[in-house]
Amino acid sequence: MESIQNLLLGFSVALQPYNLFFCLVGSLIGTLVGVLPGLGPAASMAILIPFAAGLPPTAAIIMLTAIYYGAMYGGSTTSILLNIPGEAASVVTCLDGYQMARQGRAGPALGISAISSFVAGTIGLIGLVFLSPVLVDVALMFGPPEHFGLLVLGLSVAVSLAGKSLAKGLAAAAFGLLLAAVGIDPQSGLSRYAFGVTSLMGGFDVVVVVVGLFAIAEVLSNAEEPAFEIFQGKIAGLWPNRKDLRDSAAPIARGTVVGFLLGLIPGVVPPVITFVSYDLEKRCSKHPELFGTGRIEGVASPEGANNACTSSGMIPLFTLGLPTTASLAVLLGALMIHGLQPGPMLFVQQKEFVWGVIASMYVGNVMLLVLNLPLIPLWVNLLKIPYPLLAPAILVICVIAAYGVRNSLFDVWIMLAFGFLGYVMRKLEFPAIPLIIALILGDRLENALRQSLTLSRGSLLVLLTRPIAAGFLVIAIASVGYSLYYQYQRRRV
Amino acid sequence: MRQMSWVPQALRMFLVVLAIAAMLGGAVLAGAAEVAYPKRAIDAVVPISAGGATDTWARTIMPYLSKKWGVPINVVNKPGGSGVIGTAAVLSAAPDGYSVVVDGHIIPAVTAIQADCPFKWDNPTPIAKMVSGPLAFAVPADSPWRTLKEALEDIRKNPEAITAGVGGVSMPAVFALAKLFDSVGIDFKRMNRVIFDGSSPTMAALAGKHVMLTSQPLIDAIAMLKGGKIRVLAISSSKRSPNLPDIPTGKEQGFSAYDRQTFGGIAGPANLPPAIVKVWADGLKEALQDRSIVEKLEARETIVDFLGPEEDKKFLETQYKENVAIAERLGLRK
Repeated sequence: MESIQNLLLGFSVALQPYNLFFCLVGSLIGTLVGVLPGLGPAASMAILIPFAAGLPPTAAIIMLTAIYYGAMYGGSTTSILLNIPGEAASVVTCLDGYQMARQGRAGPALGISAISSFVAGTIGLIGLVFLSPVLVDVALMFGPPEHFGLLVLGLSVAVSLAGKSLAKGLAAAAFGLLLAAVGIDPQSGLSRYAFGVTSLMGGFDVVVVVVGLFAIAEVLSNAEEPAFEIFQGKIAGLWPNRKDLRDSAAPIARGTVVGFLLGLIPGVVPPVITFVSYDLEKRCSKHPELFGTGRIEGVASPEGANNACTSSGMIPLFTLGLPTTASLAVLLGALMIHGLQPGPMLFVQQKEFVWGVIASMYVGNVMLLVLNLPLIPLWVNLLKIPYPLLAPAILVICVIAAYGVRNSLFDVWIMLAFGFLGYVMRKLEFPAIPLIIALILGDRLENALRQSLTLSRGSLLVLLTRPIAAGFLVIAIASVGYSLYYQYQRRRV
Repeated sequence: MRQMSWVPQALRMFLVVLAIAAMLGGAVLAGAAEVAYPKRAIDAVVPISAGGATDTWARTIMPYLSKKWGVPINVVNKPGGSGVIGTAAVLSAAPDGYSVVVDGHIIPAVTAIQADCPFKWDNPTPIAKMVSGPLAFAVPADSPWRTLKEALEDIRKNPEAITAGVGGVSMPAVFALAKLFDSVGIDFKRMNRVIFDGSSPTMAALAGKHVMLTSQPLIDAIAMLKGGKIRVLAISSSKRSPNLPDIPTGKEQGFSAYDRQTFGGIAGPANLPPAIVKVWADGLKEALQDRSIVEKLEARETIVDFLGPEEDKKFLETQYKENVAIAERLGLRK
């Protein structure tokens, strides 16, 4: 019951007009940042730190946190409308979201994404209030072997998302793993496959590659089609209908649970979480073969997972000073600047602050829903712009996005190169998703494996003797086996 | 990334207008100025991602200079490649003072380890060392070791049985631990060294008892310490932290070799004119005497540790030479 009292205290802080104002400001900036690709939440939060330093601590952290979850709300917009993921976490939303937009269902896609974000954000907060103390210890049980098991499970998703040809899917995944190896080796500090090019030492950034493979390749292949058939002119409803809502309810719930649990573990980044939830949904669905053609479940679940992990990520941050994402690392910096030291004592000594911020996240979620729903007709109308006019604008946005990731022109060239590669891959029917999953997971996978082997002094048994790690590996193998069996069955029919 | 955000851009436009106004006014009032620098926006490149120690140092100190000089100073994160990319970008820029790099321990560390690093330790023009902070020798909360002495005696018996966590090969932890172990005759190479991707993951692995010891910036250890997940056996500064009076230094336990610090400074491209170096060094010296900046830094277990251009260069040289010696002994230098 103490939790409820604390939460009430929190609301009394969060609802003060001054704090409400900064919650609104943060939500607005966050939405904007999410919509504009290339400008991620971490960078914008960092830019605002000097400004936030002049505010009282509670208002400052309320605003910065609002930018974080606001960006998660906004991030799906360009994924759905233009196939440009604003950040790595919304890659998976492109798969079905963009297809929905092409079928004139951008409105329902955006609507369900906002609703799913709201529901997951809210449930995630309840989890944050009641479960936090217990779950932190579980998260700490994740050492290198456990991370490795989880990452292999993530990589196994590539098999089920491989599309028609398993061989081509595996080839794409293998290429992704190779790309992930480019850059400075995290274990020895030596550069690999950089050929003396300084910019290559940082490796390929996921957003840069994805914007090329998805958005540029899309514009290139659309150039072949009659311009006015790309988005089917008829807009089938602005809002999710009753069936959409019914279809989305269970996916949202599952996405929320997956996002919340995985969000607690340091090092499990949001893109991995969204892919795992998408894959889970595909497996739960009666029509897995329709995923990628514009299923609303494919938008609902990852968007929920995305927002639930935002809430649960606050737990290791506040209790142990452990940031699970880049944005939370910036938030940690901001806490320190305000002289707030994370740790269990924060909950005791700075009750009003901690609970004020938690309650403000709830308030902010309501604000974001109210902000985002009326914007949908506006976004949908964007697609009425004739494609020959829209395409150059998309290209410009892509260039800005790629440049913005690391302030580097080199990345723009890389993005264009991957745009052409993506176009060729489409022509040859190589799927892009396994490549991206492998690129996201590759260096983490390598790191976790090498760390595990250092720990065990070279024995691979460590992956099997630790129960959590072994459990993940078994699930991964079962999941690949099931996918293979399913494909075999389908081919026979 | 700043270029694309409306809010700061509006602010920046405003600052630019202000700066122009101030310059026009200043020129009329002061007549001939000593150096006509800075005249426009400066990029202060942080070669690591936003939120890290170096990043927060930059964002705490730069607003002061921006205000003083009347030009915007953009703190730009160019992470990747263990800091090589951002640093190399500044070194290839024109030596006009409009791009500088805010460097932690990176330059003397990566140049000591990576043979193919595109720059050498003495390529950049040192401007100043700004701040430093102690490292913490930390163990899990239920570790049998109560003091640094106990730990070291135990490790000496059987270094092969020890698993140490480090936050990256070119991170201060490697050098700090190597120096400490070396001073008591323990071969760090015989220990099992698990390399993590930065300070936070290393601390998490320590708290989860996946490794037996680590040495990380004190600031990154405090939350876990207060949460009862870890214990800190020693810090690497010469005196105790006023915020944590119960934690002894390595020196007072008889291990003065545990003295490496994490630090932050500023450097520019080669051949940066001395007049510009002076403007920066003087400005930083003043900023680091500002009460509110000092307080913010101290809250982060960071102390002002100002060294001007000459002393900074000597300091970096000592660091580099020490790093090379350690890296060679550990077989890290390739």
